[in-house]
Amino acid sequence: MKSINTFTTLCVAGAIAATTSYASGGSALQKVMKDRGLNEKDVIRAAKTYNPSGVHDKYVVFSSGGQSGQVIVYGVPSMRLLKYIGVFTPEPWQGYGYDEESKAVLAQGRIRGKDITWGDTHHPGLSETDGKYDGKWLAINDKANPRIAIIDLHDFETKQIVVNPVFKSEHGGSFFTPNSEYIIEAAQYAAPFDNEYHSIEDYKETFRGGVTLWKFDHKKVVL
Amino acid sequence: MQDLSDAGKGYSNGWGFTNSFNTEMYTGGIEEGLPPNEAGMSRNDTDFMHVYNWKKLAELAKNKKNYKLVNGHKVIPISVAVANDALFLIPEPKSPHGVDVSPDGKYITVCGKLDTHASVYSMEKIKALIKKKDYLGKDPYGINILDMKKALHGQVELGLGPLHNQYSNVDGEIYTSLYVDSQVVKWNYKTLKVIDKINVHYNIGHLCGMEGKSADPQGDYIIALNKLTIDRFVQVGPLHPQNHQLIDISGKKMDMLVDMPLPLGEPHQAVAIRTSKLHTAVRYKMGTNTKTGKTHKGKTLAGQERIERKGNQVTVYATLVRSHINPERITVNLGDEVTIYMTNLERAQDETHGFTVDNYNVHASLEPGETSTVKFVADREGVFPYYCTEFCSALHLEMMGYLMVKDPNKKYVSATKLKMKTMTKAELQAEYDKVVAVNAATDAVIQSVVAFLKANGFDKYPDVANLVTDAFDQYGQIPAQKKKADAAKKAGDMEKAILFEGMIWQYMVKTADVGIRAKDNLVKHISTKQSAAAARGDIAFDEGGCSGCHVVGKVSSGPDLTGVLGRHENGEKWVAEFIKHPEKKFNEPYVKAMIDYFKLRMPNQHMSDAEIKDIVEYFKWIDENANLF
Ligand code: HEC
Repeated sequence: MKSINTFTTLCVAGAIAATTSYASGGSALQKVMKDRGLNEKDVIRAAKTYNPSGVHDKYVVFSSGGQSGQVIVYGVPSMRLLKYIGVFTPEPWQGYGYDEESKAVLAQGRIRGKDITWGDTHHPGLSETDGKYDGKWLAINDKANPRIAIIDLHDFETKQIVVNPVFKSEHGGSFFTPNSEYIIEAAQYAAPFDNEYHSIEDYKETFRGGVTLWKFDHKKVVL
Repeated sequence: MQDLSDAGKGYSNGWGFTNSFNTEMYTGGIEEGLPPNEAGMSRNDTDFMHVYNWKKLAELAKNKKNYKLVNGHKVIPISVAVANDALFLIPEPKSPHGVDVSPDGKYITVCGKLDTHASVYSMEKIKALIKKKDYLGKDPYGINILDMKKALHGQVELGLGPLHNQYSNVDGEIYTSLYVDSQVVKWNYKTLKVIDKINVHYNIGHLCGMEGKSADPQGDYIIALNKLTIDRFVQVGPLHPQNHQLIDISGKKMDMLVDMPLPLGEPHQAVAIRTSKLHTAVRYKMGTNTKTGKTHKGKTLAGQERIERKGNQVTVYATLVRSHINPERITVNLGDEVTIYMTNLERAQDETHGFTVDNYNVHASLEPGETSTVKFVADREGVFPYYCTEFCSALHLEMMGYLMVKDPNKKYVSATKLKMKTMTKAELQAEYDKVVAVNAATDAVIQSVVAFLKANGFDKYPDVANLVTDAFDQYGQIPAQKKKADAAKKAGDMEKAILFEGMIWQYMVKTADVGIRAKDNLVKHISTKQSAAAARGDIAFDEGGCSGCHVVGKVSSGPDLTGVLGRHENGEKWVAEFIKHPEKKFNEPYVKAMIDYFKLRMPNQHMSDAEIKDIVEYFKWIDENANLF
């Protein structure tokens, strides 16, 4: 009998408290809306994108970092930054390019013996199983210096960079085939495949584009 | 010249698609009075989509007679690809950008930025044309051309400057970016109907759907990756950040939710994946070279730290753990080649250590378990501090050491030693006793936490169990230090004994820090769920300043409030009244006694009636879980 009694009291108290806090919550909200010049739609939009402290996003976005030569990671729907991953460019926070292990990765991106410490990253691609993203690997291309880098999504670090030996620039990468058997990389500006001088008069004969299929080992990082 | 590509999937698995431009083969020459590239390269109405069978090409590349080696790279000539039916061309609107295969692989949508239409090609039709060898002709290099009209499913007028496409979870639904119009258009590539348009700011390039180019697109959102920002953000100089705009596509009409400035380069394309599909690690197996995934040859465990010398090669095997770098002094000769292998011995989540040697342009970030290397020639004489660059603990500042670079050809005269004030024997004994007493008290706290954790089955909750493991890792370091402290005491070196006892305290504080976090987590797991009112009361208790004087489960600046409702006749009413107007009860004998004890009158915190009601509910919840505090 006593416990039932307490239960009823609890309910009533709860109900009263709920109404009061709603009313006071409502006026606090209206004050914020007034102070910041927000309308009801704005507030709904804010609520759709707001993550209270400790709440995680439903999606993770890997964005090319353009001329920074890096990859930018952020969350959706909060649109808040999570990480910059050093890829073609040294990144001091992660020691990328300042310790020997990462220097060895960047050194794989040398072209004809020359260090190239920046990149124009364009198209990130996620590895696939049955045409669906499997969350294992991320590939990204460098348009300026035809290269593809592989990032391991188990620790978000760049593990490998490969240089296309025949293209002089590229664009249409990095697209995984449906079971990540290959990564497609297409050239951008036509240029001679070899490393010699050719007259522009010989454009039709010696300047070429192409598509490279990089064999990808889904288990190991070997292109 | 080539542009974007996509791999076929499902129905088109095995095929690849790549756009091209400059079928005119124009080569510019402004400097010779010729029209510029942009004019010559977009003269024709159509360019060519390249359709190739990568499975066949991969087979062909296995036989030496099918390829040429150029710069050590296998290149299959056009003639071989054509002869094996592995490469075709289909006209497409000029200067194309996106070529995007539908989730089932049956349709390929191409956008040419100089055409207002999107062109949807049917893979079924393409395959049929190839099978019948129904070609329109050949290009100058002998590649068979398929008839655009026969390969098309249809075309749709979308607007100015269509670029790229993404798919959603709705069958036939596709989203296309319009660069010139600054819009995203939602349409159906099967029925070829436009459904909705939304303005973006400004000049969108790529767009990113949620897994929007996979066989399993999720819908929910589209992100517009805009090329221009203009007035969207606070002005930060002539170079503007980029603007990624999040669009809600779950409703009938698209709704622009929020802008995100991106201040790092001009991002071109982005891909999104469900968070639940990512399985990232928080630590490495001890001694991992993270770039190869293998055990690092420089892996060093506690007790294995050393400096090895071979001629002018100096190799340091170092460890980092809160809060020291071992070794703390590295002395080398000018010109030595120095290699420092470092292992972060931590296992606690997020306990990264950074490492640098000042003025030597090296830096490493060592995540728990990682081993990495810095290498340099000690080419400048002097003293160079090295330190941990991550704020890793309360004693982070002290996590440092010195690289001393000596010139072997120089004679150094020792400066007069600064005599430290020496302590008397009695003073040393007093300090030693104090340190030992503090350690005993700290250990008592640890033991009470351990007893609580064990009594409440901590090992059933992985997050708690992990913290407990980390805490014991710290605690396990103590016996070795104790041995050294006792040995020093026995040898009469009290100074040293105090230092080692101090080290024990360091480990205890770290243990307690993690242990108490484990306890808090465990309480959350095992306590009864708070009612909405109790949860509000919990917040009101903190925000009303109550927790500044009252610690639940402990007597602090005010009494322990566990059980307070039962301490008074008509407890709920009494407590509510007391919180509302403590001053009205200061003359009650009970309160009087407390005022004497605490030497403090509880202040009126001006709580509302509703807040007081909630706090009383919170007190009830505390009483239900009294054993946990
Ligand atoms: C400045 C310190 C201080 C603050 C702030 C404070 N209290 Fe107190 N509280 C005390 C002290 C001290 C006593 C003992 C009575 C006295 O000395 O006035 C006390 C007594 C109490 C009691 C009665 C305890 C008993 O054994 O009967 C309750 C209930 C209580 N406080 C609740 C609260 C609540 C709720 C708040 C926040 C709204 C709060 N206190 C804020 C110091 C404080």
